[in-house]
Amino acid sequence: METSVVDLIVAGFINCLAPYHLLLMVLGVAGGIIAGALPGITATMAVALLVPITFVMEPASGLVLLGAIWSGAVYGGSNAAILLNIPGTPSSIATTFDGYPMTRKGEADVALLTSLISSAIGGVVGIIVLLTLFAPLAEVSLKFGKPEYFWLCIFGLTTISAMSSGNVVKGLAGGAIGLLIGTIGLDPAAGVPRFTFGYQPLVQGIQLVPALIGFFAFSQVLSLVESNERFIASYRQTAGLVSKTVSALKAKCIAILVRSSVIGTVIGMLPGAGGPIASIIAYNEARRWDKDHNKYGKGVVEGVAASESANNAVIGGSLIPMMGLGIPGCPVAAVVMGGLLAHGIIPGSKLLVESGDVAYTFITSLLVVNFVMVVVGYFMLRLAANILRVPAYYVGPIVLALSSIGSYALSNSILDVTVMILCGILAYLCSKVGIDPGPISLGLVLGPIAEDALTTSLVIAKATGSVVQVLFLSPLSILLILLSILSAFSPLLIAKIKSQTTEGR
Amino acid sequence: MALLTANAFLSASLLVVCGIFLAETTKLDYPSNVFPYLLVALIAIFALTILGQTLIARRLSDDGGKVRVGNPGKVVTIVITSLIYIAVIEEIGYYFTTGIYLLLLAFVLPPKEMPVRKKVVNAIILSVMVILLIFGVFEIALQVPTPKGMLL
Repeated sequence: METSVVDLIVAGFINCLAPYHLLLMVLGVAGGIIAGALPGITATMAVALLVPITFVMEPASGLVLLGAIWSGAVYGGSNAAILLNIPGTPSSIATTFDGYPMTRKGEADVALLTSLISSAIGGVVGIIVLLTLFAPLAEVSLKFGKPEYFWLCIFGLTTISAMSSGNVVKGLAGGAIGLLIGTIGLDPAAGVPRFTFGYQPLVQGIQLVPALIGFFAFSQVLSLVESNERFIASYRQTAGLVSKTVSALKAKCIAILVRSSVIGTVIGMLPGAGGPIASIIAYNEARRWDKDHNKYGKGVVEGVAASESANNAVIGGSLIPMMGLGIPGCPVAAVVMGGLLAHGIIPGSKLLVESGDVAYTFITSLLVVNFVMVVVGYFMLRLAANILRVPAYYVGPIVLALSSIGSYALSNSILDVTVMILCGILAYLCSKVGIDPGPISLGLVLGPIAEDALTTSLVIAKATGSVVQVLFLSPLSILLILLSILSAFSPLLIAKIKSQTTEGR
Repeated sequence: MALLTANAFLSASLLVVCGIFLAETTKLDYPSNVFPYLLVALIAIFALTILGQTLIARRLSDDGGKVRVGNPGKVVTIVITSLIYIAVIEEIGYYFTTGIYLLLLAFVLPPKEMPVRKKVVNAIILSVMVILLIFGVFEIALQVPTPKGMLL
C-alpha cells in the first residue's frame, strides 16, 4: 500500500520528536550558534566538518544533526554582527547595518532576541513552503537562467544607493571597488588568470570570507582603538526583554517578517544565490517599503528582523531544488546533499517513493529545530551579550587572533590571512573618506555571480545572435530590470516627493 | 587632514587603480575582459564625479569637515604589528607568533594610566587563554593544521 504525504509528515514529526533526536537538535543548535558566531567559520564549514560524524548514525539522526547545526550557524552569525559589527557568516552582513547601532544604543539583548525570533520565524516559513510545495516550486526555480541571475545581482547592487546615507557616489564607488576585487583570480568564463600581477597564489582569487573578516573585523578593531572608549557599548540587561521584544515585533515587523521570509525562501530556491543576497535584498525591501526609511541604519528592530528572517528562510528555500530535483540551492545544501548521498538517499523526483520516511523526518526536524533554537538561543543570548562587559582594549586582540585563525582555517592558506589584514586596512582607510565597508562587501559578494551570469549570457547571445533578446527580453529579466530601476531611484523619488509635500504645506 | 583634500586623494587613487587594471585588462580576450572594462569605466566615472564634487565644494568655500584619526600611534602599531605577524607566521609557527602578537597588543592597547605590572599580567593571562581556546577549538576539535614553523 502506498504511503500518503500526510502519513509521511506525521511519521516524520513522531520520529523527529524522539528524545534522542531532540537531544541532537539541542547539541547541534548550540554548536552551530558558537560556530556561526566565530568569524571565519561559515555554516557550510560547520556542517561539512560534522558530516563524517553522521556516518556512524542512522541516516535520519545524522540529517537531524546536520539540519540543527545549519540552522544554529545561520542564526549564530548574527551574534557577532550585532555585538561586534563583525558578520559571523556572510549571510549576516545586512544584520550589522542595524544590529550594531542597536548595541551602541545599549539595546544589544533586544537586537539579539529580535534576531533569534526572526530567524526562527524565517526558518519556519521556509520549511513550511518546502514541506508543502517543493515539487512544483523546484520546477519554477529552473526557469531562472544566467541573464535572470545577472539582473538579480544588479537588483541586489541597487541596495547600495539606499545604503549610502552620506554621499551616494562614494557608496557606488565602494560597490565598484568590491566588484573589482572580485575579478581577481581565475575568470569564471574562460578560466584565465586575471589581475594576479605575477603573484601566482592570487590565482585562487580573493576569498569572500577572509575579505569580509578584514572589512568588518580588522577595520572594526582599528576603529575601536581609535575611539578610546573603554567598552564597545554600555550593556544592562533589559527588564521584560521577551515581552518588550515580542511587542516590538508584533507592532512593527509582522509585514517585514512575512515579506523577508518569502524573499529568503524564493532566493534560497535559486541555485547559487543564497543567504547574503537574500538578507541584503530583504533589508533593502524593508527599508524601501517603510514610510520612515531614514531610520534604517541607526539601530531599529525592523532592519535586524528583515535580514535575519530572510537568511534563515533560505534554508527551506535552498532545499526545494535539492529535494525536488537533486540540485542544491546553496553551498550548505550541497554539503547536506553529500550527507544524503553518503547515507544512500538520492535526492530528486524519486526521493519520496524511495526514502520518504527519512526525507520527511529531516524536513520536519528542520521545522522543530526552529523552536529548539529559540529556547537554546535564549539561554545563550545573555551569555553572548556579556562580551560587552570585556574592555574594548582586550576585545580587539581577541578579535584579531580569532580573525587570523578563522581566515586561515578556510583553506589553510596564509594568503587568506594576508587578504584579511589588507582588506581591513583598505576598509579602514575607505571609512575615513566616507566609504563604508557595506557597499564594498556587497560588491565582492555579488561580483563573481554577476560576472559569471553576464559572460555566460554574452556567450549565449553570441551563439543566438541577439544580446537584447537574451539579456533583456525574457519576462523574468524585464521584471527584475524594472525592480532594479525602481529600487535604485526610489530613494531619490521619495526624497523629491517628501520635499514637494513639505513645500506645499 | 581636510575632507576635501582626502577626497582629492581618493579620486586620484581610484584613477591610479583604474589605470593599473585597465593596463592588465587590455591583455585579456573577450569575454574575460568585458566585466573588468565595465568596472574600470564605472570607477573612473565615480572618481571624476568625486573630484568634480570636491572642486565645486572648494569653489563654494565649503571645507567639508576634517578627517580625524584618534590614537594614531595605537592604530599604526596594530597595522605594523599585523603586517610583521603575517610575514613571520610561516617561519616561526602559528601558535608562538600569535601568542607574541596577542601579548604585544594586549600590552600596548590598554590606557596609559593602567599600571605596567597589571598590563603585563593581564596581557599574559589573555594570551594564554586565547591560545588555549584556539588550540582547543581549531587544533583539537576541528583539526585545522596550522603552520608549525621553527617553533610551534
